[in-house]
Amino acid sequence: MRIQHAGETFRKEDEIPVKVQLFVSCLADMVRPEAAIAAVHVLEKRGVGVEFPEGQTCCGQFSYNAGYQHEAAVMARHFVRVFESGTQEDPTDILALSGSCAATVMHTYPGLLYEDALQQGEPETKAREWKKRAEAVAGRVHEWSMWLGEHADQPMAPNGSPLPVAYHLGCHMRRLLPESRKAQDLLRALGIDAREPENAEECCGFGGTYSFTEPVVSTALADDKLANVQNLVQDAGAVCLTGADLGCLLHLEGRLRRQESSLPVCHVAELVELADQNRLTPDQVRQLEQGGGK
Amino acid sequence: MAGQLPYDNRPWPERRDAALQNQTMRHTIGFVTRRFTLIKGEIYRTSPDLEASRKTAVGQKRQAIRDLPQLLEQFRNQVERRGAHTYLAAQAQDAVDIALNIARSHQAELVIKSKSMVTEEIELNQAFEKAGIPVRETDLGEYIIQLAKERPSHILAPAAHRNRHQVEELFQADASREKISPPQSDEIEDLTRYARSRLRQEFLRADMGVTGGNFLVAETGTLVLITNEGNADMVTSLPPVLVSIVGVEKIVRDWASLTEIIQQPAMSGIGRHLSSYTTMIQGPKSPGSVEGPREWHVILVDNGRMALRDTEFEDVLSCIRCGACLNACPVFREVGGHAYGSVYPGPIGIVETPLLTDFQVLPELPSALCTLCHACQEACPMDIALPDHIISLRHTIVKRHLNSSTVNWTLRTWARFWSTPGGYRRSISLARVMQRLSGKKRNAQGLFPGIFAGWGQTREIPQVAPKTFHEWWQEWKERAEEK
Amino acid sequence: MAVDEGILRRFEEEWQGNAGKIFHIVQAEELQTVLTDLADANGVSDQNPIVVSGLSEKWAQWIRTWNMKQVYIWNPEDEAEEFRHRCADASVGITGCAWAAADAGSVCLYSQKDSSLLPSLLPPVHVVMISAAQIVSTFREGMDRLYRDARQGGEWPALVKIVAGPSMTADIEGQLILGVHGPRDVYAVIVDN
Repeated sequence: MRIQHAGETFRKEDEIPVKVQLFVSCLADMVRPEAAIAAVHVLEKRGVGVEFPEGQTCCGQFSYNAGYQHEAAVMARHFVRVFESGTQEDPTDILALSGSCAATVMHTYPGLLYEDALQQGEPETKAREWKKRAEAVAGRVHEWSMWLGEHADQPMAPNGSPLPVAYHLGCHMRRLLPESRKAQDLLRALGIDAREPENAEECCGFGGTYSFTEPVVSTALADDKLANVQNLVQDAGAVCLTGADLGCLLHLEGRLRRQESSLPVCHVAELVELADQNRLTPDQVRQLEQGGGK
Repeated sequence: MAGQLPYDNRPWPERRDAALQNQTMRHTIGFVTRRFTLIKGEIYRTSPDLEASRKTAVGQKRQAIRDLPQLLEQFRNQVERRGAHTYLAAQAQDAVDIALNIARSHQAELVIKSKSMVTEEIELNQAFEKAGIPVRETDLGEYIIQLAKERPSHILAPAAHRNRHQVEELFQADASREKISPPQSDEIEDLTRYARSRLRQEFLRADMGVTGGNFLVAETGTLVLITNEGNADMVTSLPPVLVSIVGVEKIVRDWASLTEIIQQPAMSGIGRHLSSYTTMIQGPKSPGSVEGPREWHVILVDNGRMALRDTEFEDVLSCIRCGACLNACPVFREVGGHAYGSVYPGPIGIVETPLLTDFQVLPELPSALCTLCHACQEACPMDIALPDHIISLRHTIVKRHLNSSTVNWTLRTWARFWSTPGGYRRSISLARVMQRLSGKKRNAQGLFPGIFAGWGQTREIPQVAPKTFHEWWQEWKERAEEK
Repeated sequence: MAVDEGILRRFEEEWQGNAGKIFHIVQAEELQTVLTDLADANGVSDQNPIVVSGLSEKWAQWIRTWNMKQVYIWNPEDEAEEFRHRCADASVGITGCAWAAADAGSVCLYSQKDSSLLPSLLPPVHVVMISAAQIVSTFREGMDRLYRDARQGGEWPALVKIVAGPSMTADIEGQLILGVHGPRDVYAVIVDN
C-alpha cells in the first residue's frame, strides 16, 4: 500500500482493477445502507467502478450455521447465479461488506452446493458442476476493507493526532480469512487509530441465529465485550466502535442502546469515507450514528 | 451401538441461569481458562519442534483409529503376556460390572482412584458406593467435588467452580465426620495440606486402585498416565490390585507414535513441556519389587466409540482430553462445565455427548452452547473439526425434527422469502409494517415473528432504513444516467 | 565421556523452570555437605529418616561410608513391606535415575528389583542424583533410550516414571500449590564425571 497525496482520486496507476461487484449483505442493505453507500463512494473516489447486481439478497450463512443446509443451499445457488451472470469473459472481484459472509461464500459454498445437489437427487455430474460454479464465485470474493488495503492507494493521513476508535475484528474474519488483521493497517494509514479491546479474540456473542435463539448467553458475551470496549473509551478516548461485520456491530449496538449508552457504532466504510472527505472528527463520527451520513 | 452417558436432567434454561448466577464459578473459570489459553499459545510458539511433533501425531492418531480393532488386539496380547488381565466393555454398565467383580473377588474395603473421565462417564463411584465399597477420589479437585457430590466442571480443573471458602466448608465437615483435625484456615496452602494428610492415610490403606489412562501403546503394551499431583503414582505404586479403565480410542500404534504425542496433553492443557508426572505401566510388579500392583486389570471401554469409526466424526476419537477447547471457548468461559449437563463439557462435549448416545441425551447442546466462533478449532492440538461437526450435528437435529416448530418455521420461511429478489423485497415491506405498528416502543418483540423475538429481550431491535441500499442504488443509477 | 556444557545448562534452566532445584557437585565430600544440610533443613530424625534407592554402587558406597544412622538404603534382600513403611515416614528420599532430558527438564526412573520408586514419591523431599553423562539433549532421545533399555533388558520395567518438577496442583482457584501428594521439593544433584 503506497500513500499518495490527496488529489481528485487516489487511483493506483495500472494496478487497481477498474471494476468490482459489490455484495452489501442483507444487514447493510436493510438496516445500515449508509455503510454500503460509503463503500461505493470510497471505491469510486479511488477510480474503481462499482457494479451492484440488483438480484442479490443474502448469503445464507444464518441458515447454514443453524443446521438448515438445504435452505442455505437455496440462497447460495441464488447468490452464485446473481454473481456469475455476465462475468464469464471478464470476471471481476466481488467485494463483500462483511468478513463473515465472505468466509461463507469462500469456505462453505462449494461443499454445500455439491452435497445439496446430491441430496436433491441430482446426478453426480450435476453436483460437481455446482461445486465448480461455487468455487469460481468463491475465488472472486474478498472482504471489502481487506481488498481496499491491498489494492487501492490511500490519501495521505491528515496532519494531527490520529482518531482513536475501538475496532472489533469478528471471529470468522479473524480465523477464516487469512491476513485479516491487516485490515487495520488500512485504517491506520488513513489516520484512524484502530485499537482492539482486551480479550479481542473472544466472541461478542452474536453468532447469527444464536443471538435470537439464545439471547441470555449471547448478551452475557456482549456485556463482556462491551466492558472492554468501554475501557478503550475511557482509557484511550475511543470515539466509536467499528468493524467490518455488521452482524456483530448491530448486536453490540442493540445492547448499548438498551443500556442507554450513546457510544457511536459504525461500519469501517463509513469511517474511511469520513477520512476521504477530511471530516474525521469525533463530531462527524457522532453524526454518522444519527443518520447524518445519508 | 450407542453408548450410555449420565446427564443432568434439569432443562437447559435452568442449568444456564444457575451457571450465570454463580459469580464465583464465572470468575474462577474465566481466570483459569484465559490463563491456560495464553500459556498454551506461548509454549507452541516457542517450541517449533513440538509443533512439528503435533502435526505428526495428528496423522498417526487418525491412522491408529482406522486400525483400532487390530491395535486393541495387539495391546491386549502384549499386556496379557506379562500376566495382566484385559477386558473389552461394550457398554458403560459392562465396564462397571467387570470392575465390581474384581473388587468383590478381592473383598476390597477401600478403593483409591486417580482422575479419569471415563469413570465419570460410566458412573463408577456411584456403582461402588451402592455396592457398599467406598471409593476415594485423590485428585484434589476430584476429591473436592466428591465431597460436594458434584460432577467436574472442567476436564482438567474439576472444582474450578468453587472458591477457597466453599472448599474449607467441605473439608471442615469432612474432618468432623472423620474425627481428624480440620484445615488450619481457608488459605489454599492449608487446604492442600489437609488433603495431603487426609488422603495419604487412605493411599497406604487401600486394597485396590483405579486409574484411567492417557495413552495405550499397542506395540509395547504400555499404559501412560499423566498427572501433576502424583496421585496416579500413588495409585499405581501402592495398592495390591490395580484396575485401569480406559476408552478404546486412547490407543497409539507404537513407541514412535507415543514419542510424538506424549507431550501434547501437557503442552495444550497447561502450557508446559511435560506435566510433573508421566507414569508408564507395563505389567504387574516383578517378584521382590517394592512397589506396583500384584494384579493388574485393564478394562477397555467402547460405550459408543466404535460406532463413530468410518463416519464424518471419526476424528473426534483423536481427542486427548487436554481441555484446550474448553479453555478457548467463550461460551464455556461464561457458563462453566455444569451448564452443559454432560460429563464432557465444552466444544468436545457438545460434539461427543450426542454422538456417543445417538442424541438420546442433551440434544440441545450443539445449538444452545456454541456461537461458531471457531476458537476451539484453533485451540485443538489434534485438529478435530469441532465447528464443522457442530454445524453438522445441528443439521442432524433438523433432519430428525428435534428443533422447535418456531425455529423450523422461521428458518424455512426466511429461506423461502430470501431466495428470490421479489420475496426479499416483500419481506422488507413486511418488516416496515411491523416496525410502524410497534412504534418506537421498547420490548416490541411480540410483533416480531418466530425466533427474531429473542433479540428484543435484551437488545434494541435495529430499524429498517427508510431507504434500503437497493432503493438508494436505483435512484443513484437513474441520476447518473440523467447526467 | 565429555560433558556437553550446553546440554547441562539447558537441563538446569528447564529443571528450574519446572520449579526444581539444583546442586552441582564434583567431590564425594560435597555430596555429604548437601545431604547433611538437606537433612537438617527437613527435620530428619530416627522416626523420619532418609530413604535411598537406585543409586549407582559408587554413590551408594559414598553414602555408606559416612555412617549416617538415619539413612536406609534399599537392598533387594530386605523386606519390601518394611522399606515401604520407612518411605511413608521418611523426610527425604534419594534416588538415581535412568536418564534426564535437558529440553523438558525431566528425569526418568525405572522401577526394578534393585531400584524402588517410593523414595521419589512418598517423602516431602526428593533428591535425584544425576551423572552429567546421563543427560540427553531432548526428551525424544530419552524416549528412544527407554525403548532401547527395555529391548536390551529383555523385559520392560513394570513401572516407569518421568518427573518434571514437584507435585503440584492449581485445583483451588487456579492458584499453584506445590507438594500436594508427592514431594514439595525436588532437588537434582548433578555429579560431574
